[in-house]
Amino acid sequence: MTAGGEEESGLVHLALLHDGPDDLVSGALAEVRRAVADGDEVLLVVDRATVRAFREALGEDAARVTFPPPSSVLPPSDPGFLGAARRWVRPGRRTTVLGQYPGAMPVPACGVGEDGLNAVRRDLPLTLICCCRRDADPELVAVARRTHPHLAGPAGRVDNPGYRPPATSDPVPADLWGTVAARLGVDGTGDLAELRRCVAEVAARVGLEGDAVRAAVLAVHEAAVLGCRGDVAAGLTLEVRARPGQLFAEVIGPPRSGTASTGDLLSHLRPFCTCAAVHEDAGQRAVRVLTTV
Amino acid sequence: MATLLRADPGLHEVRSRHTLLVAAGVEHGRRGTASWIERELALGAKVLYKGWLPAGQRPDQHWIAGPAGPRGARDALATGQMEFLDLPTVVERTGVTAEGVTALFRDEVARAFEDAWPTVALTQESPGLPLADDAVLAAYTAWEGGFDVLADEGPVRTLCQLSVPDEDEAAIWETVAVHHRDLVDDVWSASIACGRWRPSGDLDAHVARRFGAAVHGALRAARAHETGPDLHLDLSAVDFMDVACAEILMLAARSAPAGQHVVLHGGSRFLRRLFDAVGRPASVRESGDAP
Repeated sequence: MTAGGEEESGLVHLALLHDGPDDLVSGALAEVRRAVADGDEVLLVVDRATVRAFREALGEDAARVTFPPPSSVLPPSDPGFLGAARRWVRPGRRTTVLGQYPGAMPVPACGVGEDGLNAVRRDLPLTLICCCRRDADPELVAVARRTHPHLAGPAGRVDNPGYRPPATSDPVPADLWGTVAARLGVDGTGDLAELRRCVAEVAARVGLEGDAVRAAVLAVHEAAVLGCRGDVAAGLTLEVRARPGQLFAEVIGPPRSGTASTGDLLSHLRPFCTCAAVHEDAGQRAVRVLTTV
Repeated sequence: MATLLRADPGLHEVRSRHTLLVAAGVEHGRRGTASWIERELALGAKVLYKGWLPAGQRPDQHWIAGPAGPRGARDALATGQMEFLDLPTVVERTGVTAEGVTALFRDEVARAFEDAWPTVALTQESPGLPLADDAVLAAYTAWEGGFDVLADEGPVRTLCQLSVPDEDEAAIWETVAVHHRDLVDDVWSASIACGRWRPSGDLDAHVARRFGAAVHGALRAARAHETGPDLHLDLSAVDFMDVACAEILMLAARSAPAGQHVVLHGGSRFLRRLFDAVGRPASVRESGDAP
């Protein structure tokens, strides 16, 4: 991914490591000014000292941003964080949100929330700047470095060399969507009919109806077809997790052999789901699909 | 794992019919054929079976007379309700010409009716016939047309068996294309009703190539039909279609000759959303009864 050069139709997720209010504002100012200039809705969710520093730095532009109190925003460690992120989105307009990590934030839960955002909310037209003090718990700093594709700084946005996409072994789905509601082995395209029946049953149980069920079934089916292509025995496993109004499916299998594919492997199924992502590591490959009402 | 509902030939309800049974595996094909023969025997039809007989074996040693075969087949062979003819003999007698094949079957059907059988059921195993050659393809198309004529003339039901592992890609493609009017292929099938081609069931990546062949056959037949060249496509019985099949359908419509359209009847709005997502060409039109 190239800093500043990617299409900004989806999530832009930045970390900002800082030493205090003035350093935070210095590191964020280029990004905030760009957001204001682009007409984004800009929310700066920071403590009072940082609000003062921002007002001073932004001058007249400070009137074009909002400063919600930190208590009004859920941190990444909160189970409702992904839902809150969705509510920041405004129709026809990009939203930029800058927030500070609370000092006492649970580190593992923060990692789950940040990874979850990367895994299943990449479609949101949202720029999220997560600010973490350099003198915070080293493990929290490490999470910030690991979970953000970009870093914000005085010169603007740069790629984060420390970013690690969520691996297939990450516990993101279990933490976000609970235990597996259905599991099925898929050895080839001959098993796809059973896969569709399985997905439709779970979708109906969590309240998806009509075209929402059809879309969920089609998206998961296409995720499995990707794994079946070219394989005699695909050795795939479908795992479906669900919450009311949401269905999350993972098609897990061996990593793809041969040359790397170019382009977006999932472009054909994106119109039928809320979010789709491929996560691949040395051991396995997972295609994750989220469908919501 | 729950048992899936498979498309069922259901031929006993129809006086005359010419159907292709596509089987992805040998056992699958035998189950479908055995079920069909069993029904025909129960309905009192004369069954004429053409199949491959290993060297030195008698018809009562063929699988249809064994445990995997239809109930009553062994007795039917003994009583004459079912007759077996091995395919090498068919080749020898007909010369694999359209005239020869049609004449052989016509004579057999005539003889069955002379013997007062109320209906005749014809079935033949996958022929293993390479169809890459235009002349062979033309002959094959002609003799398959002969089965349609027989079905029009009397109560004759024909089940052509296509065993996918036994045929090459070209043969599978052409066999399915020729039989697009009436075929049963695992979780999907196709028929023609009221001048509309009507695929039904689940159209997915597992059957996409054969669905493409059937679309090709339906478009080709529509061009030659007196009501053509447009293909009227009834989607009301399609339970599921995936991106691969939608792309195949839209691509076939896009590459159809100028002036030929695919006219959509019935089916869900979601299918239209799928067609739009993969790219719907101008040659795909909606009928007045579209959702």
